[in-house]
Amino acid sequence: MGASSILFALLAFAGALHLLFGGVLASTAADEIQIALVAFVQSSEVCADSWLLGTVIGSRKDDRADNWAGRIDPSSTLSAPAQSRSEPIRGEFVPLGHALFEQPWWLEAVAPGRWDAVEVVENGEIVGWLPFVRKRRFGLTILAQPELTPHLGPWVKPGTGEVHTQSQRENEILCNLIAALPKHDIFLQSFHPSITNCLPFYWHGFLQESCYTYIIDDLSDHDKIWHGFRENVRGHIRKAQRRVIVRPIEDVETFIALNRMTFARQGVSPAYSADTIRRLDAACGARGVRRIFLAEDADGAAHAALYLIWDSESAYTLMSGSDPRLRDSGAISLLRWEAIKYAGQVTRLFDFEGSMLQPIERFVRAFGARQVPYPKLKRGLTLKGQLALLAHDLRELRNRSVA
Amino acid sequence: MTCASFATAALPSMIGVAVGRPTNPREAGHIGPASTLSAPVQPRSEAVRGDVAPFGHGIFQQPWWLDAVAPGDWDAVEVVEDGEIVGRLPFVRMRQFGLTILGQPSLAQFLGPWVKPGTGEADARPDREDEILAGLIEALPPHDVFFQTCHHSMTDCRAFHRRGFSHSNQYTYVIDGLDDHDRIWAGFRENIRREIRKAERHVAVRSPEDVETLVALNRMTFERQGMAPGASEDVIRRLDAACKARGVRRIFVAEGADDAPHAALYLVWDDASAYYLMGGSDPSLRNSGAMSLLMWEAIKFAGQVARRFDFEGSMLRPVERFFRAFGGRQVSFPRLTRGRTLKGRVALLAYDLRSARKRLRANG
Repeated sequence: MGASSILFALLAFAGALHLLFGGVLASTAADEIQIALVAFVQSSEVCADSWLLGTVIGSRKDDRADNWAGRIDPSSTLSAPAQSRSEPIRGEFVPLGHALFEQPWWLEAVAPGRWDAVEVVENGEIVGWLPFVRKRRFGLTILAQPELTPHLGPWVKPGTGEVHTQSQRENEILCNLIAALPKHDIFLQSFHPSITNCLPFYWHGFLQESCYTYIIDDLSDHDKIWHGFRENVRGHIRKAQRRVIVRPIEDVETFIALNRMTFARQGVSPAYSADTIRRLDAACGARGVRRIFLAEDADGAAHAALYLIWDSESAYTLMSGSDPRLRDSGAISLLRWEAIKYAGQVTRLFDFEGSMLQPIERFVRAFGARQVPYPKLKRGLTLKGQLALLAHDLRELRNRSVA
Repeated sequence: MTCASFATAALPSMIGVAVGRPTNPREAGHIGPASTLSAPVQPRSEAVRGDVAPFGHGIFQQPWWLDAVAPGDWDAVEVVEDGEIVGRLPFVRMRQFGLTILGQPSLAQFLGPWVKPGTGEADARPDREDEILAGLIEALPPHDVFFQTCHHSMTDCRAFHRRGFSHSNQYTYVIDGLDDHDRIWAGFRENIRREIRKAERHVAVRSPEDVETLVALNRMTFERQGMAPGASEDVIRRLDAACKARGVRRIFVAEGADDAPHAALYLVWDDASAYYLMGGSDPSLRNSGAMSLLMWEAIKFAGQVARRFDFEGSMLRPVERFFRAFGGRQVSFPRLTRGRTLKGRVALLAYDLRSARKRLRANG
């Protein structure tokens, strides 16, 4: 961290404080600044939110020690209509949510004992639901989403009746969910693309930003999808078809090895642990909602692997990995193509979990996918939360301008 | 009831007084310092120097509109291909807090870029659009902060995001199918229908050619709310003259038995859509339901001149609630922001956080 960065940080905070608090620095604010400043100067991960959210390695133990899991603190801020997780939800499967990421079994696999949810119940039926993971970092309590979970956010039971009645009801349920959230400094989640109405969040002090993912809508017409690919992608696939064969495997360890290699080549610490992958694989495997595709050559050398999951609505390429020594074989492109074809047998859409980073975006767009925005919501509820968010945003901006 | 200018609701402090170059853009015919120009971008061309531009996402992007609401303060960057404008981004340059802000004037709700619809392979279109938008962004004159809300037909903001802009959603409500009055009426919330029936007994609606009644009621509304008006009386008068000359506006006033004006509504339109631009009501007569009646009359009238009625949105909770009661479809439109310099970034983040804190205190 160079002197210029520290100067940048100081300047930023001076300016921010001036604008936020009219230049009057309350003495209590001094500690908060210290916290936020330390936070700002630490770590240099490029990944947008990893700085604030931390990686799973090392933080899980602390989270467990918190001993709040599974239920909301009795002294929490619950308002009347919203409740903590009720019996029907403690079960295995909930008949609600936009995607499998909101299912209790999924959350239990990626964040065992660390997740919770607030809900709104009407006539004994759950009509609103907002799951989250509580993390501690830099002395802040952060409500977020677990790793390997691209989208979370609220779910509201679709209503009937006139448009304005429905939207009024939706707004009320969302407001109740927000009010029921336990105490936190920061809320930070990427919502599902089908969540379009973020007004109640706006009213309650959240900031919203749009990010993008890439979706193939019609999985039935393989010819059309094939011709939607860029020529270079088709070339890669043809080349790979001559060198490797693709087969589904049950052994997650082969996948994990390739996945770890990719992180090692990029010189970054893995965003999720091998244990999390194992736990998730056990959960998905038991429910028959995953397929691991492996590309290997005639000598039996593993080139690349792709981890596909799905629910009734969409399939997601959740993870992938490749052997750096065999990267030019085009195996990843071939795996994507095979995964797309397979997805058509089990679901309706294919979601690339697209990145906002342009190189990846170009790669994904070359597959003829349609860009779909999804909202990312954040809120600093306390002063230190707001300052940390400010630091987080400044880092993100700086990283983006560097990239 | 006020929604005189969405911009004033959304950006109370960001949009200050426009103090950009006091050149008349039509005379100037060129954009800011030449240094920022990239090859494909050229000074404003003949086609745009005229009154009406053959492009844009609606009435707010027309040169004559911008001349009326921000005379001498607005400008635009363009991308020209084979002598034809294929991309354009108008803006207003302002100074506030020592920052240079490229923003939008009040009473110009939907600004943002326009790109000529592409032809050719679907695969190549995003790249072409991206190039045009990149050209526009690069051609923007030096600034600390960029801050605009775009028309809802602008759905792909990745080109901006890649270049350091943030994209967030704001919401408006639109009513399509304006021919079917029965369906629209049935879509109103019950209390709105009741208010309209009541108002029909107490007030008469007429459409004056004179804007002064509206101006007076509009000022009253802001006063009651203790808010500074979004647009000055002069701007409203100038805009009214421009709209009147082009036959794209209608003023609705509801008057009581003693000719006392209860409420007024200002409707403008282009080919695609009619917009509820601003309104006002007498605080002492607010419960007469006159504003709801005017909205209904404006919606019915809009069917004669456009395909869609657009409430022009509001993020303010009570205003949103009122608009939503008319049964329109919620449509999001993008707000694009960028802090280009360090102070611009800090100011923008601090502004967003500060407004979030205000909302938190009001609703939390």
